[in-house]
Amino acid sequence: MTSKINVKREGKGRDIPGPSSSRRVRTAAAIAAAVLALASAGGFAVGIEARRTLSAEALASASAIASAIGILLVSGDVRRIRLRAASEPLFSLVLGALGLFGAPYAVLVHRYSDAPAGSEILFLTTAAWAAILVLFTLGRRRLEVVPIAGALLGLAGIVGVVGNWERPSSFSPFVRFVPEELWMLGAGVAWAVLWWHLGRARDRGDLDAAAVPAAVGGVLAAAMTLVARWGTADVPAALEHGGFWLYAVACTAATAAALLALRSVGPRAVAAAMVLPAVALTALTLVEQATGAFGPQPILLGPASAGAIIALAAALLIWPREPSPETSPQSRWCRAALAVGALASVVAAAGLAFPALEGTAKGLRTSGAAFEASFVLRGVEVVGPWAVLALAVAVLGIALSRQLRLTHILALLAAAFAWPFVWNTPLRTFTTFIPSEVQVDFGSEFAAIAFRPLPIPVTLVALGGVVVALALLLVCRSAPGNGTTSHIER
Amino acid sequence: MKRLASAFLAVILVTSLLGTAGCKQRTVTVKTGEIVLCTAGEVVEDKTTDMKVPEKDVAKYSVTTRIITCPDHQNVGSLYDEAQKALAAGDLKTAADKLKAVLALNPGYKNASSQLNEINGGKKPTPDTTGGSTGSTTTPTPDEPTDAVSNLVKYVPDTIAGYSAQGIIADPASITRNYIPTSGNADQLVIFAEQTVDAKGAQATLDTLKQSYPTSGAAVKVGTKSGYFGIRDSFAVVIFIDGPVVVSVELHAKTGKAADLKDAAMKVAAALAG
Repeated sequence: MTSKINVKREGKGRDIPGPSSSRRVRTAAAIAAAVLALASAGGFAVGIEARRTLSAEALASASAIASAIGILLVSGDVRRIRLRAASEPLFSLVLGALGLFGAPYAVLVHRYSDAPAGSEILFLTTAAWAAILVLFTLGRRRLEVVPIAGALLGLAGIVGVVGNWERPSSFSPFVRFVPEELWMLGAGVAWAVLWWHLGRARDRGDLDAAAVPAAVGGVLAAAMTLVARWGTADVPAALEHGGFWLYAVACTAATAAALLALRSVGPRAVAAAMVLPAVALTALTLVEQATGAFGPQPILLGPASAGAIIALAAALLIWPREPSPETSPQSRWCRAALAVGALASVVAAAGLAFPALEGTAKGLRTSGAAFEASFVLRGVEVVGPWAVLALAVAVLGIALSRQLRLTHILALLAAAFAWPFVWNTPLRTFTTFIPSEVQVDFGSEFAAIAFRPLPIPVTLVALGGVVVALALLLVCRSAPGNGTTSHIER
Repeated sequence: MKRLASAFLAVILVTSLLGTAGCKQRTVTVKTGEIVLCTAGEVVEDKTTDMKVPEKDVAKYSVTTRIITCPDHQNVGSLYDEAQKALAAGDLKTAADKLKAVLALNPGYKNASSQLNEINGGKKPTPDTTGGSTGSTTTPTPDEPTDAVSNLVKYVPDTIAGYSAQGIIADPASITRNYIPTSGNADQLVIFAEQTVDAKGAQATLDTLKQSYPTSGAAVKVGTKSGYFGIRDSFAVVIFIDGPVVVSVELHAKTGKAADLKDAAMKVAAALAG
C-alpha cells in the first residue's frame, strides 16, 4: 500500500511538512497546552469523585471513547487519510489501545475510593508521565540536557506543590501502595509510547494516519473490555452519573488539546503541559480563598506557590524548541558560566547525600505505649536538593548548547528565587519504619509528625553557583552577537 | 568537547545515584523505657532514654507508663482526710496543723489553702467531703476541678465486655486507654477522658473534638448525658460530657464503613456514662 503525505494538515499548507515558525502556530500550541493542563486537572478532580461509585471499566471506557472523539475532532475527515503499509495502522492501533484505554484503566483499577492519596496519584499520572515522555523523545544532541533538567525540575516542583496541600502531608509515594503506584508508572509508559509514536508520525508528515488508528484501537479495547466485564462495569449506573459525563468531556478536551499541541510543535509540548495539572488544581484554591465557598483550605499557599513557579519554569525548559543555527561564540563569560554550572552540578549532586531535614514522630502504639522517634532525612529525600540539582544541570545544559534563550534564563532565575520557600518539603511523610498504627493517626490528637530544617551549606553553595552561572549567561548573552538573535523555535 | 560533556554528566549521575542509594543504613533515634506516673498527675520517675537503632528495629521500641500513688500523695491524702475530720469535729487547731502539713507537701492540693486561710481569718471552713485519698474514683463535683487522673480512671475501666484492656497513658489533665476488641468489625477502641475547668470548658472541648469527626455528625444522648456521634475515615466516635469531664469513645473499623460501628460505640459510651 502506498501513501500520500497529507501536506495540507501537517505542513500548514507549505510544501514541506514539518515545524512552522509562525507566531500563530506557537500561540495555538501554547493555548492547546493550557487547555490540556486544565482539562487534565478537571478530569482528575472529577475522576476522583466518579471513581468512588463507578467502576474502573466504565470510566476507562469513557476515557478511551472520549479521547477517540477528541482525536477525530482534530484529525477531521478520516476518508482522506492514506496509509503507507498495512503494518502501520496495526501498530498505531495497538499503541492506541494501550495508551488511550490501557493507561487510564491501569490507573483507575488501582485507584481505590480513598487510596492511594490523591496527591500521589496526581503526581504519578502527570509530572511523572511527563518525565517519561521527555525520556522517550530524547535525541542525541547536547541541547537535550535542558529538557532532561526540565523533567527533573518538574518532578521536584510538583512535589513542592502537592507535598504542601496539607500538613501533615499524605504525599508519600512508594511507601504504602507500592504495587498500585508502580502500575501507574507502567500506565505512564503506555501513554508516553503512544504520544512518542504520534510525534514520530508528525515528523514523517502522517500524523493523522497514526492518530486515527490509535483512536480506533482505544475504542476497540474499551468495547472488548465492556463485553468481557459487562456485569462489573455497571454501565447503566455510570450513564446516570453526572461525573461520568464530566469526566468524558474532560478526556475529550485533554486529548484534542494534546493532539493540537503535538501537531503544532511536537510531543514535548504535551510533556510540558502534563507537568502543570497540579498547578492548575492548586490555583483553584485562590478562587476558594476569594469566595470561601468550601470553608477553610488546608494548602500552604506560600510553599505551594513557590512549587508552582518551579513547575512553570520546568515546563518552559521542556517546551520544544528547534536548535538555532546561530550559537554563541565561547567568550570568557560563557566559559565561566559553563565552569560554574559544572561545579554547581557536582556540588548539588553531593548535596543529595547530606542531612537536610529532621523528622520527629510521636504517637500511641496499639498496646497503649507511647512511641517517639526522630530521624534525619538526607537531601535525596527532600525537594530542595533535587530542585537545585535540576537547576544546575539546566544551567550547564544551556551553557553547553550555547543557545542562550532569555526565557530559559529568566525562568531558571524565577525558580531559584522561589526555591527558599519550598525547599524543605519532604518527598514523603509516611515511612516504612514507623509503626503503622502511629502513622495512621498523624494529624489527629493521637499522633503527630513534624519536620525541622537542618543546615544545608552544600546545597546552598550549589544554589549560589546556579545564580552566578545564570548571571554570567546573561552577561554572555548581552555581548554583541551572542544569542540575542531571534531563534526559530518549535 | 561533546565527549567531555557526556563524561561530566555521567559523573554527576553517578554521584547522584550514590547519594540516592546512601552509603550506610539509616538510624533512627527512638525513646524507650518506662515513665512512672502518680495518680495526682506528677511524674514520679522517668526511666526513658534515647537510643539510636537501625530503622528496621524502630517498631520494637516504645515508652510504657505505670501509674502508682506516690508516697507523698498517699501521705497528703491521709493528712487531708484527717484535716477534714478535725474540721467536722470542730477542732480547728488540729485541722490547721494538718492543712499546713498538706500544703508543705503540695501547695496546690485541693481546698487546703483556702481552708487554712479561712481558719487564719477566724472562720470555720466547710469540710471537703470528696475525700483526700488519691486512689478514690468518686465522681467529681460538677464545675469543680479536682485531682485529674484519679477522677478520670473510672472512664477507662479494666473490664469492658467485648474488649481487652491495654496500657494507660495519663497526664495531669487527661487519660487515654486502648482496648483491643475481641470480636466484631472494629480492630481498636480508644477511650480518652479529659478534665476541664467546668461544664462550659467541657462543652468547648467537645466542640473542638467534633471537628475531627465531621462526617455523619449527630447529637446523641448517652444515658442522661448529651453527646455527639461522628466519623472520620475509618474512625467512629461518640463523645459525651460528664460535668467538667469530656469522654471520647473511638472505634476503628477493620473493614467496611465506620458508620456501622455506631451501635458498638454507643454501647461502650453508655456503660461509661453509667
